[in-house]
Amino acid sequence: MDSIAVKPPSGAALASPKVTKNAKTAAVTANSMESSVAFGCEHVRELFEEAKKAATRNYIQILQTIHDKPSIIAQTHRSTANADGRSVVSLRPLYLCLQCPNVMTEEVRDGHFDAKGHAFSVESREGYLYCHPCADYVYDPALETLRLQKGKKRKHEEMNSPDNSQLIRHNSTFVPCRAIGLRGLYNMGQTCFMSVILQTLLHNPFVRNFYLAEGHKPADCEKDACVSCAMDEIIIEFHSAEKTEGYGAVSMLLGSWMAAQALAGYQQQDAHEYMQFILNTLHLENGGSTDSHGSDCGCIIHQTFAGMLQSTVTCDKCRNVTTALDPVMDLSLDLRSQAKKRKLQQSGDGGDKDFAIDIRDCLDRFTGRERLAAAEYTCGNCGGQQQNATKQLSIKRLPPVLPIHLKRFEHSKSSSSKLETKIKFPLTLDMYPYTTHCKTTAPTTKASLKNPSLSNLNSSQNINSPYPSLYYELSSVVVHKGKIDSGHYVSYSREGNDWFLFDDSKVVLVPESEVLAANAYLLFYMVGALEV
Amino acid sequence: MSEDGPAELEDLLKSGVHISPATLDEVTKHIFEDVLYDVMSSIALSCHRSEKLLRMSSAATQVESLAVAQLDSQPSAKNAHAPPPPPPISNDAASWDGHRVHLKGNPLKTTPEIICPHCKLPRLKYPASGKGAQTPDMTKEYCNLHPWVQRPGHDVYGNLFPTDMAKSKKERELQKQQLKNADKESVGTPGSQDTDMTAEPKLNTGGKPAHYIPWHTCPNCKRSLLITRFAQHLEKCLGISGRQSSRNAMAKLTGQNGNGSGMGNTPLGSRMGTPVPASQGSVAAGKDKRISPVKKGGDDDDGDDNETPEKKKKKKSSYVKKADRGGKDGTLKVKLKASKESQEKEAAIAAKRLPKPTEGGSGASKAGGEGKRDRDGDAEESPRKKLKLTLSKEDSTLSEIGSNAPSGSGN
Repeated sequence: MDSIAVKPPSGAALASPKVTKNAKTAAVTANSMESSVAFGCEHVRELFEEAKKAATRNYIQILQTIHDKPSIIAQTHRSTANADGRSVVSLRPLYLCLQCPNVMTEEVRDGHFDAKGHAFSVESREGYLYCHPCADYVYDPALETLRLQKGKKRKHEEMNSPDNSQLIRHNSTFVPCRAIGLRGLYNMGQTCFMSVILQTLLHNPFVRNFYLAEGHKPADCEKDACVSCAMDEIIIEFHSAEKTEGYGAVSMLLGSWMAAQALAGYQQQDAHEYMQFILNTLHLENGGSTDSHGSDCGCIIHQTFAGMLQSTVTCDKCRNVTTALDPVMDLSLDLRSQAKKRKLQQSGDGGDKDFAIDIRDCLDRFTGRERLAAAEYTCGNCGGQQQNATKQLSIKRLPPVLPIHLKRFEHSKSSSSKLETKIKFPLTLDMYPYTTHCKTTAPTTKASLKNPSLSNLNSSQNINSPYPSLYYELSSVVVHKGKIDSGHYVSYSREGNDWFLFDDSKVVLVPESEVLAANAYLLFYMVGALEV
Repeated sequence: MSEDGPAELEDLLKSGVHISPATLDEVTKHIFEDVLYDVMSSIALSCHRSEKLLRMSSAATQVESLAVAQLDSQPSAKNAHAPPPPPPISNDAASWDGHRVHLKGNPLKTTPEIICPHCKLPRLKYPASGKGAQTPDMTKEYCNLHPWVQRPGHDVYGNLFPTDMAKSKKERELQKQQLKNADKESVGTPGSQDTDMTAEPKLNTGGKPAHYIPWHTCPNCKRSLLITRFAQHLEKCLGISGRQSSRNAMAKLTGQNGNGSGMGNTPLGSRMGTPVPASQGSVAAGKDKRISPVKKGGDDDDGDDNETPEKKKKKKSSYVKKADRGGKDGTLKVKLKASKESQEKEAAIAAKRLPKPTEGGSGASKAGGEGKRDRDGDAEESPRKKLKLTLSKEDSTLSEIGSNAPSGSGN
């Protein structure tokens, strides 16, 4: 591969650019923060200097039309083709004039500028601003903020006051350009189970931001071998040192071993078990209470991962319903019965069907009705008699980050085994069908909800969607390779639109397809668009 | 809207409006084309947006750098700062009027380069190696945030994967020696890693050579050791042996009792120097491959690396004590002659067996382990142990004490 001519090693040449760079940039960064332009283009500047208020108001109105009203409004224009002025619904993007109520096609838009001099129009799908004199889309900082808020007011608007940005300006420094948290973790000897869980946490924006915002201060922490301090140490190191080699999470290993004897020792462990441990430990070390039921705990871990399951048991005889709430940090999905069912189907259909099980089937089953035999249920209403009953689980509350655990490891008295069944999982998962809200309000529409041709098309969560939806986006995947008692863990995490494979100290850019083809053990879904 | 299209059509069909097949074909084709157009325009627009935002900030960064440079050269203007607005400083892409940057023209046309807003250096546009690579202009300086490299056997930074994580100390030292020699000769380097290092002399990929493995100080015993051996060392150092290993050890022990002599798979005499056989014990047959290099070099490695001969002596002396204790501990008398190793194991296990029912696997550390020992009712043993702990912080002692702690099997 390396066919380049061998040159004498030049250590001095390697080092010198860095030195000069640092010297030069120090002077510049001291004077200025990250630069940004004042306006999207010269024409927006003119517009804003003349009529900023009116333009902003109009833009917000248009955004509301696009996002909150039935999309047919923004997608209907008056036909000019036959000059009869008929209303025509278009499937392609249209343009809404910023200065008048016209809705136009791309062709009409240009004529409109020539005729009336209205220079700006708003694209009808996402609300992008088109500047006619520029003949290009422009991204004005002020208007982009509005666009991303979809015309609604947001809390963080108040926090982004000039005072605060001044504070930030004077009290923050730039991290080195390369220190964006993409580093591997050295395998310290069968510690890959720890590395994969750490990587998913390091690339979880909630957890990362908590630590980067000094959520846990090791200086103030008095605990010995504190796992949270170790986490802080890793995240700070990943976001401040411009190194590319792996990192040895020694204090994390020590902290974990000290805190959980069951996980200690030079041997392979279950990543899911470790995840449960580290979440619980981080919860305790970050101000969580021990007797909390998850719902009222304000610690970063519960804010990020705590969900609530509702279990409903209906007595067959008296129809008495008992509900119980159960705080959860992940969903553990059973694969065995699904695999069996699929096998049966295959033998029936001649085996030409897709071998893979879809995770949505597992979720359906997880939240499906389940028969309870009389021996398992005693109805209080029927005088304490044992009755047949129906049990159903549903998700009462979804966490911002939802870990899904696929029960690949089967433990019986005599032996343990691993299910290698392929589980298909989507990049975007609609969790609405599995919520308590959905199960209780619209049991009849369940069938139509599962219709993929309908539910997949609704990307916008607004009035235009025929059904409510709660989209979760895949953010991390943990994969176990090998047999039950020996093997290797790797993980995939998404940063922006790029997927990275973390294999111990190695970090590799991988295509989306590789992630989706992975034989997942743990899946992490993060709430989509963070606007739900 | 796209979702309304087919639905409307369906309604039309249901309501009995007749659509000729040709029209239906036409309509279907139109809908398909429109939807495709939508998808493409949405992708193109989001791509356009991210690129244009980068160029916009680049234009601003450039003109601000220019302004800073000019202000620096005129110290008087710098002091004045805000009140009298300095004359606008501008280049082709933007102008700076003292506190804000205004674009001139379309940054997609005026600003060909992307400038890092942090370090004010241009960003590399293409990866330096691998898929889609272009050789960068080496005379320039670039921002350290390079495009990700996609190249088999290399990470995202273009560095070779670490190659010899599992190599023993001797092998590594041999390699180091070879590399050193090669460096001295400085011509015709044999290692491929070396070639890679010199191939891109100016582009700082921030990487260490592929044979680099960091050392880390053990927080417990302050010894320095290779990161890849850390878990193994720490287990010994803390005296942890997991659930599985205790079971394995138990199995071995019963096997020994049956046969009267040691099991076949672990040559007991050969590992006199390892106080806790847990690491070996935990190894199931399937793991042998992973472990084998460790077996060869690991124990000696960790021991030899930083230990002074003095310490070694101490270690041995503690074994004698253990042997003594084993002798006094009634159950083990028979084994005394068999081997020191097995006694030691049995002692550990015997101690472990006792506290198990009472202990809940709660966070017991070294100190906790000690406390528990008192509960064992082994009056003779506990003071001895404490004594040893104060004597030296060696792993043999600690492991003996700590081995009680993790026996609680779980949560």
